[in-house]
Amino acid sequence: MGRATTIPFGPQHAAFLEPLNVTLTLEEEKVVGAVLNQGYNHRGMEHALSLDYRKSQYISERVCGICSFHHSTAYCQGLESIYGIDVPERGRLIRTIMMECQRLTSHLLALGHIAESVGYENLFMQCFRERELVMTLVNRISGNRVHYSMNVAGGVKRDISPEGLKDIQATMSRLRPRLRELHRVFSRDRTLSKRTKGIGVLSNQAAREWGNVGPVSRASGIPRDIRQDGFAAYSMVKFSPIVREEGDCYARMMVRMDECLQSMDIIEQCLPLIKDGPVAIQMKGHPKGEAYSRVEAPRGELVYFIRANGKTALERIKLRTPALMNVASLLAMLPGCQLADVPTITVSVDPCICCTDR
Amino acid sequence: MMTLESKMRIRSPWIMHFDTGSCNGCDMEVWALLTPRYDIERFGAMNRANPKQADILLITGPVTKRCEDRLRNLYEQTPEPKLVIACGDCASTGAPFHNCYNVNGGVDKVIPVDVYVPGCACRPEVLIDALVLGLSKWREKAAGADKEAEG
Amino acid sequence: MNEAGPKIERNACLEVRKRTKEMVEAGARMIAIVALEREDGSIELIYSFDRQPGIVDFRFQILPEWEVDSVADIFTGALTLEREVVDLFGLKYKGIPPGLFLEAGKSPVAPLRRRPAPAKGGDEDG
Repeated sequence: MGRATTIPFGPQHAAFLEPLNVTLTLEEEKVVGAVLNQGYNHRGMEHALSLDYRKSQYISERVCGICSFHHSTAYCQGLESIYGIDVPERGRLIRTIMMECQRLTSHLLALGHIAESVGYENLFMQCFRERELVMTLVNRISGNRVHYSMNVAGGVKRDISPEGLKDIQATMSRLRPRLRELHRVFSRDRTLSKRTKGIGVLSNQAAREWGNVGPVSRASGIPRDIRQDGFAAYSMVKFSPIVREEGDCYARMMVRMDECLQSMDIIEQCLPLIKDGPVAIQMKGHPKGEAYSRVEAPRGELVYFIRANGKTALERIKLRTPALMNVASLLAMLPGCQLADVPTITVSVDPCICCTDR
Repeated sequence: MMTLESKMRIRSPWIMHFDTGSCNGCDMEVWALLTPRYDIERFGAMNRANPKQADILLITGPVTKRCEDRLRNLYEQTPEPKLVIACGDCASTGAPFHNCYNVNGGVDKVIPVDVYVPGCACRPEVLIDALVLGLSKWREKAAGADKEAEG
Repeated sequence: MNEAGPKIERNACLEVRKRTKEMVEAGARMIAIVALEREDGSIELIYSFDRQPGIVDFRFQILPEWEVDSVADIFTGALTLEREVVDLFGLKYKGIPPGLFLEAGKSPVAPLRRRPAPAKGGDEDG
């Protein structure tokens, strides 16, 4: 048994897109203890969001760039339920399509990231190449690559033209064979599975105790997907949550890969359902009341709690982001692993630090 | 007159990316820059996570209070001549996070910035443009530094 | 939901463990701890849980000086949620250290309380 060594991992590290610091205690190559230091990205969004509810749609997108549309949807849904209105069907379908597009970009980013963390540069590049297809698609539809700015309380402010719908269909048809190919690589590649199978196991029990959400919990055998609650237009499409039992990095990776294919199915189911009609309705007066709003962001359940008291400033707006729960559970996965596996494990929970710290 | 070393370095500027509290939008675009669609390796630029090997710092985010010291530290570790590019609106001015209490409001509040890139989030095309603009500034800096070294 | 909110009660700080335990044993998953400051300066805490088919919560009101019991040993994931409340509202939780998000000496203290240190150059109301 060697002497314990302490090494800092981050905040600026090749494996991380964002600043997160993990202080690891090592005995030779084995991790025996880990401490998470976060807060490098804490800006104070909850304060900024509460200042004026009419401007907060803009700010809510800036909480996180990878799941910006989910954030603004959660915020707008919260306001809509305070006003007690229903968004027109066309608006809900457009929201669903955009959310699934964003899930595709987010999952492909996460998958590429995992591939890179095991040293598979080629696959990382391939993931990002396919991702650009979706990025340019949303650019054509919304005019932006990252922050779509399509949401407004009451619906969406930008309609999709008939040509746009055809464009989405065409892009999905182009994307499908490419993602199938990616799926084949991710599921069958021997090097990749050796670096991910049995690594960073999070048991079902631990996932329940840590309150994990999203793909991380589904990879540990918890069949919970907020989309089943049927917000936006998810009640109109057929899908079932993708669940795996192993709870290791491989399972988390494959859940994301399968969800990419599922997202395309959902988008293709939505397209024929779109009928002519309004995309948004107006709301009158300042909001008064309180609401929870939940959406399934790419990383899991995203909760907004809004309490308004009839003024422009909201009394309280609280965000519980999925990454906050998932990043904390790293403490359950890291002890016992090898130092070389630390990047893979951290990346496999898809740590979105801007969400975590807000 | 530039030394041989400076001439070689400018052909292959290595970049280091650091996020100081942005929304991740610009970071994604920085990563898009490294991948096949935009691929800045054609200009000889490579992503290096090590400040000691970097020539160009790509900084995103409005610099949160906790990141402040780390950013300064990274800047000091980077060898001269170095170039700082502030990517996106929040890194340039802090505007999107104007009302947040824990930010400094721009990279230039902490370290000197050479190129400001607008956009929220900034597009990869603009980043390439900023890189090219930055390199011409870098050439001036390198020439100045070499002259000083010659005496 | 009622306008006046729950009564300010000291033993709510202790009861929180019992009520959380009941929830967790019933199979609920803790979602969030929402803290908010009311008009009179007291703090309302809302513990919300995911129990299908919807969200259930229990709420209580305390004075900011009182120490609240931690539920992190009942539901491990609550630790981060509690640390967040400690940081942003300056509340005291038994055995929970501050410093999750805020940098001591640089960031404002308890920024989400009624009179936060003004954000740099910020216009406070829209």
